[in-house]
Amino acid sequence: MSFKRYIGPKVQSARWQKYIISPYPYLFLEKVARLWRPGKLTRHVRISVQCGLRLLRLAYGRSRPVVWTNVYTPPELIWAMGGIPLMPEVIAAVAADLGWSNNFLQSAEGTWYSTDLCSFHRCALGMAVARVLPRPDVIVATSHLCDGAVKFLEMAGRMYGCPYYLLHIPYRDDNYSRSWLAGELAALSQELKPLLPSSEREISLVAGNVNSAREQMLAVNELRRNVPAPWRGDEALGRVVMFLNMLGARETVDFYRTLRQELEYRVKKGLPVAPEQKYRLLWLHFKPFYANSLMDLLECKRGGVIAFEEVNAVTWDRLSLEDWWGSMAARILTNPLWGPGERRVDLAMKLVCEYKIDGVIHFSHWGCRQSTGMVSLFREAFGREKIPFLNLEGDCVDPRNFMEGQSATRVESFLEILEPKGV
Amino acid sequence: MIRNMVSSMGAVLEEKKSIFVDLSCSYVPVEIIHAAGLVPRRLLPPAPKETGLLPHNSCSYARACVEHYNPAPVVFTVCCDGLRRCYDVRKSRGDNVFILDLPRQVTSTCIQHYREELLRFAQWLAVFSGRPVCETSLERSMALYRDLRLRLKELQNAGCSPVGFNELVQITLASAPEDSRLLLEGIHKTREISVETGSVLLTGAILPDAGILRVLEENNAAAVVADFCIGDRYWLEIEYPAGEDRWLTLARAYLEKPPCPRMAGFSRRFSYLRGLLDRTGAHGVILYGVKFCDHSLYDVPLWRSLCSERGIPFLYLEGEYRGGIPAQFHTRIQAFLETI
Repeated sequence: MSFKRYIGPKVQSARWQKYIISPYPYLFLEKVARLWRPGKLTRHVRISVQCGLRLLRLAYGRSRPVVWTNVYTPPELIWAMGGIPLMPEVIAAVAADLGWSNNFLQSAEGTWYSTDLCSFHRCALGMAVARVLPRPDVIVATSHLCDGAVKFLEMAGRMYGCPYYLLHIPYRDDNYSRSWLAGELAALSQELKPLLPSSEREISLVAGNVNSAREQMLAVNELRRNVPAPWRGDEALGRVVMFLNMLGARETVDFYRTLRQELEYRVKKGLPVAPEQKYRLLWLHFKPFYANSLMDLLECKRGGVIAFEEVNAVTWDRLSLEDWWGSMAARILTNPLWGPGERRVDLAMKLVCEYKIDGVIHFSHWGCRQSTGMVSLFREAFGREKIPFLNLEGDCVDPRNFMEGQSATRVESFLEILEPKGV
Repeated sequence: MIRNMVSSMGAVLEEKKSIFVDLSCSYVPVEIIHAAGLVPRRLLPPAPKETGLLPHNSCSYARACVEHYNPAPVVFTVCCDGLRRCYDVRKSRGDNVFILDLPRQVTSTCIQHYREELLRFAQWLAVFSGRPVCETSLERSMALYRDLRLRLKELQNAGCSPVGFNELVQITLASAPEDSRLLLEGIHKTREISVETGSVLLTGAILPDAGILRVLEENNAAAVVADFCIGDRYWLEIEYPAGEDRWLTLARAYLEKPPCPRMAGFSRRFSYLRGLLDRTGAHGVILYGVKFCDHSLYDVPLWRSLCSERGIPFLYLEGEYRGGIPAQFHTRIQAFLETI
């Protein structure tokens, strides 16, 4: 029995929840992880596990102010201020991975949060209701990407009685918007100064880490163009937390550097990551994080491989120390998931060409209006180019909302369509 | 009588060959559209059909807006994910659409940002109206709308029944302000006074179906306030502070108006809602939302806590945009009114 399956049911009891909110189990697990000797091609896994444990230890230990933010708020903004960025949506995905999400979803539903809301937010709200998340000292939300995150974080601010700041992200990416947003970021940093006193040295360190990680990420993405694919999409979607929550930390650079070396080795030695790679797929949006057989079916049994995912695309430029706020604003505004929908479609089309994609799968996460609302645009754009497209409905965090058999049938039918185009 | 007026008003506007501009959000300043020589009209399409342009778990108002074909240009705001995607789909279809970046907060920098957006919006309007918006025409439009709002407020305070008042609001949402003003002058003399036993505060983002007002009336109750973006919140309580740049005035006036569930700042929204309860003395609250509207869904726990704090009964109803009033609602409303 795996550790995950063992610990999953136990966490329901209050006794175990007491351990979850203490920093010591994470310290212990970090030490255990150090003893772990991974194989030549899995060292990056150890780094990411250690990194996650360190983040939780710091957050529960409250050695520095804990700042809750939403996904796609640049975490380096908070690292540079000397805070610990914590994204409850990411923690919700981790809870789902550990098989804990059901309890927390039910806790949220018991306090009148509808099942029609995004389960990332519902699960995180349930965790907040159960008081198992690290208590925030301040909450910084950004208005881009989705409505749910803004509301959820505001609700959490009220629940914990902590200050809540909302940063408006302009819809358009132009010079005016960049300079306006840079001003807002600088003003926010001033306002947070009493709690989070950022220093030039810290900013310089974080900017250096972000730029180094960016170089490594670009190299990794370049290696992933290789046929056969050197990295499984299932794992790439699972490790996205490194980029979402940890960018700016030293470990992220180590993680991507190690990963790059491992992928280089795979490519050089011609070691495919999946046994049979007949079809190369592009994955849009996130994956179901709880235990399910769909991803294995897709990548290990039916000859498909997720060659790339839109969430791993690097679309921003290097951060500049001379114009820290300006480059940070540019980083936020170049996010193709924000702004006019055509930007996201353009990115997907570009990835299809760059990664020699045979078919595209959009995972329509229940409750995510902003992503699922794009499906008809994708269908039209891919249809024009005769690229097979599958809209797979499900839920990233709530296993009750995922029809595994039905999804498997749909995936299998989709792969049959790809048959003549197989590489 | 009011319904007849709606259709005759539509015919008059068609005759005048007015160019309509449809808007999907109450935060779009109608004054700018009017000052450009165009007629602002709230986008209120018929109930949606399943076309697959937006997924079935999008709100039905967004689905109705995406499927509704009308040659009139449409203005969207970034008010919600559903309408943002509606804009994207209609743009990809080649429709004449514009999107306004609407901040959620009321800070000096956000007001300034919204001002810039309004200027950009005026430039877009000028392209097809052929008439740039100047300060003088803007001033004139603002005066006209100020007058219209005052008349509506007077009518409401004079005891116009909620059903009748809602119909009036619907007319003003779809007509030129000059015509609406003429209509309101006539209505003022023949106002209806309703007699009700239970007063209810009806609230939400967009009013899914106005039939609920009639259901309340049939049960000897009345919505003292219909706090919706196509209800009372659309017209009332917009102030234009004097002595500043008119674009800034408009940006400020709209961002400072009574907040809809989408806007940020619980304290601001709570004080507005508390004020509504105090002012109206409502005996109960019905939150009436469109299914899959995240803003309404996040309002449920808030309203529950506010109502339990005050010992007022609360009911949450979830309907479809223009989807009618299901029989189940009648039963639930009757049961709710018994608790008042």
